[in-house]
Amino acid sequence: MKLAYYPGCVARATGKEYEISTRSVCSALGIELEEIDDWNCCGATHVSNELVAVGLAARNLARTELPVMTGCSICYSKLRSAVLRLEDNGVKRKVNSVLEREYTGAEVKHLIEVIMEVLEGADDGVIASLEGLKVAPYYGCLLTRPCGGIDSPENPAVLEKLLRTLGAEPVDFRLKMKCCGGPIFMTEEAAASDTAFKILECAKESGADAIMVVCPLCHLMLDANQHAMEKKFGAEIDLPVLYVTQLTGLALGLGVEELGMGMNSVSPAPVLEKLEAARGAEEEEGEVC
Amino acid sequence: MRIGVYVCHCGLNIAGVLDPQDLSEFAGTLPDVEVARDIQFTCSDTGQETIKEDIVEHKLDGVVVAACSPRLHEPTFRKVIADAGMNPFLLEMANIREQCSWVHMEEPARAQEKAKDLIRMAVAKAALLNPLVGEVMPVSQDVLVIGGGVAGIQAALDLADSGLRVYLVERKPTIGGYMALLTDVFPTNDCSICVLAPKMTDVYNHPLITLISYAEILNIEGSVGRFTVSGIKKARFVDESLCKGCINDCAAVCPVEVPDEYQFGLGKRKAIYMPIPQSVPLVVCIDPQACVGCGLCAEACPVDAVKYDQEPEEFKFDVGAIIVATGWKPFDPARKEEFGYGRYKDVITGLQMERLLNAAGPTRGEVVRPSTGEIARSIAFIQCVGSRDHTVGNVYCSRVCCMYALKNAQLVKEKDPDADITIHYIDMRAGGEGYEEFYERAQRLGINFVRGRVSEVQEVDGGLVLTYEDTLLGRFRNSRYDLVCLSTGLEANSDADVVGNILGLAKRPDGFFEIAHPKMRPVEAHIDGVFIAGCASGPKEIQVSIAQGGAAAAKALRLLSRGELALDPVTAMVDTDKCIGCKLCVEICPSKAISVERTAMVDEASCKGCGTCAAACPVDAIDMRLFSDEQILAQVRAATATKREYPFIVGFLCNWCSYAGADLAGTSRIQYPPNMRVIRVMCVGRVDPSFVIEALRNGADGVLISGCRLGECHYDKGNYQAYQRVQVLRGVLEAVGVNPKRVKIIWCAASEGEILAKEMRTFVDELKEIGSIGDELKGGSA
Amino acid sequence: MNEFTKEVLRLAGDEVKTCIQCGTCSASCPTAHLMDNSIRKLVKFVLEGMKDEALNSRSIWLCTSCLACTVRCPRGIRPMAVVSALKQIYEAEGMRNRDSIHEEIFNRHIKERGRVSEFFLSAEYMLRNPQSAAQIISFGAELIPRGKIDIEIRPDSIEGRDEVKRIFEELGGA
Ligand SMILES: Cc1cc2nc3c(=O)[nH]c(=O)nc-3n(C[C@H](O)[C@H](O)[C@H](O)COP(=O)(O)OP(=O)(O)OC[C@H]3O[C@@H](n4cnc5c(N)ncnc54)[C@H](O)[C@@H]3O)c2cc1C
Ligand code: SF4
Ligand code: SF4
Ligand code: SF4
Ligand code: SF4
Repeated sequence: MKLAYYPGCVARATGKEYEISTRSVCSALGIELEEIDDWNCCGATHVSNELVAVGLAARNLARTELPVMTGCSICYSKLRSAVLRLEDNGVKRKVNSVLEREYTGAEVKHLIEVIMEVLEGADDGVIASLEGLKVAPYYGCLLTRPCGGIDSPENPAVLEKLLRTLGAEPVDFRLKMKCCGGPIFMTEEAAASDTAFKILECAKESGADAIMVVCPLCHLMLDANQHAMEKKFGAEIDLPVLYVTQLTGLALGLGVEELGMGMNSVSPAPVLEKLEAARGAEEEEGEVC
Repeated sequence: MRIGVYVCHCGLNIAGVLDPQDLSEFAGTLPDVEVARDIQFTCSDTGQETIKEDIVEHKLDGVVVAACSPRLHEPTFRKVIADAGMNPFLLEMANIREQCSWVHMEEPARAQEKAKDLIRMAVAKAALLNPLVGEVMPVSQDVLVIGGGVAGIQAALDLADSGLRVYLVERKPTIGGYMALLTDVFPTNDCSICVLAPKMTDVYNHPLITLISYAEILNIEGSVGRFTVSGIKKARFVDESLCKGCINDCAAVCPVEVPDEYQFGLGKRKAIYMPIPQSVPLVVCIDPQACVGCGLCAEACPVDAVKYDQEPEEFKFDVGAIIVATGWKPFDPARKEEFGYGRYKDVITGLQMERLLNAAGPTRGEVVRPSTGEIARSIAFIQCVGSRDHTVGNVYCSRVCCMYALKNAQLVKEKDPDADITIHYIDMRAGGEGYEEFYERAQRLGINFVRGRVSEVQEVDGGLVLTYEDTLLGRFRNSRYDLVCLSTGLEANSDADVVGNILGLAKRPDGFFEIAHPKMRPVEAHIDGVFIAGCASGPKEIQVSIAQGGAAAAKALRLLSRGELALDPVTAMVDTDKCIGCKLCVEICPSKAISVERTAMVDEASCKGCGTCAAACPVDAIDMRLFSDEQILAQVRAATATKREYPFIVGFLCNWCSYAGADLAGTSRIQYPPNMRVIRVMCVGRVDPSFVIEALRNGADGVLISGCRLGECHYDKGNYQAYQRVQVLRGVLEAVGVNPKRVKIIWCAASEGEILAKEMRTFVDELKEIGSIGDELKGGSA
Repeated sequence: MNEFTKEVLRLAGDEVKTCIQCGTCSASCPTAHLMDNSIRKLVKFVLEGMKDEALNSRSIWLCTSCLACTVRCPRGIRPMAVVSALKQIYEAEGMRNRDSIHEEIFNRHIKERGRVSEFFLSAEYMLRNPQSAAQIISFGAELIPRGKIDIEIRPDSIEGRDEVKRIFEELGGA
């Protein structure tokens, strides 16, 4: 499978381990990624003018013939909203009048759709099951919104399904769809942390060993900011936050370096240990038989 | 032709502004006019006698009365000439009162000229009138009622009690509809089945009602007065004539259990089952999907009623009228995923609550949490689930759910005064007799009301947490309840789709069947002889459903009581030599009166005479018996014969709204400039572009077309048709260099005389700006 | 209807007029409990033409753009689009606060270079809004050692920056 890859700005900065693990997992799964040439920022949640936002997305989409894949939920939502808006011929005409390459239509996919597709097709894809691992699947806001994309915006199940495919156990996670507050973190730290911390507490209560995220901004809020928030709210969380690609990579038997695990703020060591223990136990059992 | 013209003084109503004597002298000079007179009060006995005498003496074959509006006295004068032995359709009226003397009081001279034109136009049309005879057709006096809910039951009983034979066809194994499944009902909280069951039994026992239950209508042919209905009665696998309805023996031995659709999934039933204890007919039924064919029930049945080899039976009968009472279907709340229905056991629907509260329900009247079976002590009702909601495509209010939530909240509270009950609403809608009082009663019982739509329901530690904003306080809350009841709305019943398609019933955007007029004809379909009652035409409570059942019965009775139908001769006719069989007319006819085999055929019993087909036919193969092309073109030419006005306007006004609006301007003495000569048509859909072109060709500076407001057309969508045609025509005019603004189309209701007068004033000004017809052509060539 | 209302309707959609103040949007909003005027009230302010109240609401800047309101509004309104409209009007009116400054820097960086760099974004924001220094520095201390923020000397740009600029200038005017 060959796809156009749209990394987005965050993957090149605070989300580096996402990009590293994305590339490793894709190559392990036989997905060829062709980075969109000279891509620009999608504007994220900061470009208030709708038409400009559509224009920014359209420029990226017009630069490839291939289906476009991205791992960032914000980029994904922005690109997809643009595709919907561009179905209006008036909007399309206006936008095309400023673009160098004409936008004619595009298919946008989130990384997890691609992973699911490949794993479902291959019956021996997962070589080292994540059995025994309890994971809180965190959707965040924009993976499923606006509606009509990957899954229902109210009661999605795609991440749970993916976790089961990897052999992990998805826990019941009430706040899985609440926004992490990331987009306002820089300017409204108090509000953003208030929102994010509730999500961490909820994940902790649910008994998970780790949280799985699908967006670098969510990761920033829940992982990089976790220690600061623990201090601020005076409560211990200490919950590893792993990218979907990091968990998938572990299940595919990739090494921690290939998955950029050293860059996570909250140490993923307990997760690795638990997996190790489970695998060890399995092997022992195997020897007994 | 020998035409008599009678110009009325109407006391000073006409003569105060116009000079009737001069008008009658003028009329005398017109071709074909044999006698012309002015009369003080033409509608008086003496006036009527004068006309009758002239008819005999002068052997008249056409009569023109220049007086008030035909909407007022056309029936009077038709009767007058019929009494004198003339065909009543040989009458034409010139409206010189409402649309002349009363609206141009300050300008008698111009009004006099206009009156002359109006008389010339009437005479021109009268010369082309043909005698028309309304045929009389014998009809079947039997009626088909589709759907045995409360609306259909009421219709069937009212008809049968009036002596008509009724076929009541019900899809389910029992009649009763949803009302049979409700607990106590608002606004009086009496037991639903207790008031309904006697009516159900009456249906069964009535000698004039043939109940065909568990049946499906497959085809309906023919038209008003002579429909032929056919369908099948599904196999129950039980002989109706033998089954005693004892149910215990067979169901007790049946090994198969499935969810009971009559308990909305809260209980179970066997594969052999009685839908409800009060089923009518009181006969069991085997569910072929569930039955494993073990044969135990047949052995157990003491009267050998079980027949595994029963086949579906076909039926076929003729009826004169049809009442569609197919009801509604509940909104599926699983579509509102945020409320967790289907995911959380303790989130239930209004109908499930009805069953829980029902003494004959799965819990014998206890309101329990399905998850644990414990009594629910705190209950939240969430309103408007699936109604008033664009996200699920239902924009309308379901009308009964506020009331049924109030009711069920009261019923719980009466059983358990300490129960904590909250209704979460956007607006409480309690319009109806005794309804607001009912709302107040709920408040007095201590039920809480929170204004604010719940955003989501989540199960937390075995309880249900609702998230909402109390919008009156502006506070955000999470509240915990044992049980959440979703006040799900009513949707159009998909079970009725087949019947709707066969009959050609129109659907509103909300999916329910459309009635012939949103106010004036609440139980009539667009199709003659078809009536709609109850929730089939939109959500409504029991009281209104019953009222509509009765109203539909009365309408059917009125239609069929004489055993024959006098057909209105004002219909369309097809010139089969010209017709090319394109079927355009079939699509356009709002009454489904045209069918095409090789050429088009008009079913005169169904045609309502709007004339939209005649205007649409691309080869002019359709004409109207009255308001014919020839007659209207003659009126156009007569109107433009002298053109003593500038700008000169020819108007086409629809009979029901705009012409009536113009009459109202008259009775209200609203003054407007006398530049327009009006031609009355039944519907603006009748206005053929060739009429407009003829007017412009003959030197009219402008043409005004006025129909009912959009959505209010008396023939469904004639005004939309007219609008489209005008748009096309404007394009053509522009292409040949005529200013398209010369043709104007407006909407005016019968109550909007002022609007019509205002439009007329503006149009006159606009035309002055454009200049005389032909100016633009001169300019172009210069 | 005043000019302010008209402008918001133009930007956010005419259907905003049909709001029934049901509170679905505000009850779905993750930051509503922290807002001075909830998203529901903002819509009401707009419809009542209460420009000052609307533009001075802190809420505009507490919206995370999560679209929870937008997928649920029973009238098919996009309440978040109302927030976006208010942000645009706020900036067009020349009003400034730390949030709008951040927004302005972010947009300018894309406009001039095609992409944003965390480093320059934070740096400029810190300069313009010194109160944010503590937060940014401590966050930097968390991220820089992990190699997640590159300390750049010169911000790099994409080749198509002129095209991106045109997108802002020509589409932004509409
Ligand atoms: C939870 C709830 C509580 C309510 N409580 C009250 C109350 O307290 N008071 C009140 O006034 N109203 C109440 N209502 C409203 C009430 O249910 C309706 O007013 C009533 O059911 C309307 O009756 P109907 O005959 O029009 O339709 P229905 O009851 O739907 O009956 C239609 C019948 O037509 C049959 N049918 C459908 N299609 C076909 C077909 N193609 N061929 C043959 N038969 C067909 C159906 O099987 C059904 O038997 C409540 C509604 C709900 C949802
Ligand atoms: S034959 Fe069918 S209905 Fe009768 S007892 Fe057996 S399963 Fe039940
Ligand atoms: S009746 Fe009440 S609950 Fe039902 S849709 Fe209307 S307002 Fe909502
Ligand atoms: S959800 Fe929609 S209708 Fe309800 S208050 Fe918000 S904007 Fe208004
Ligand atoms: S988009 Fe903004 S206003 Fe809407 S729910 Fe999310 S944070 Fe609240």
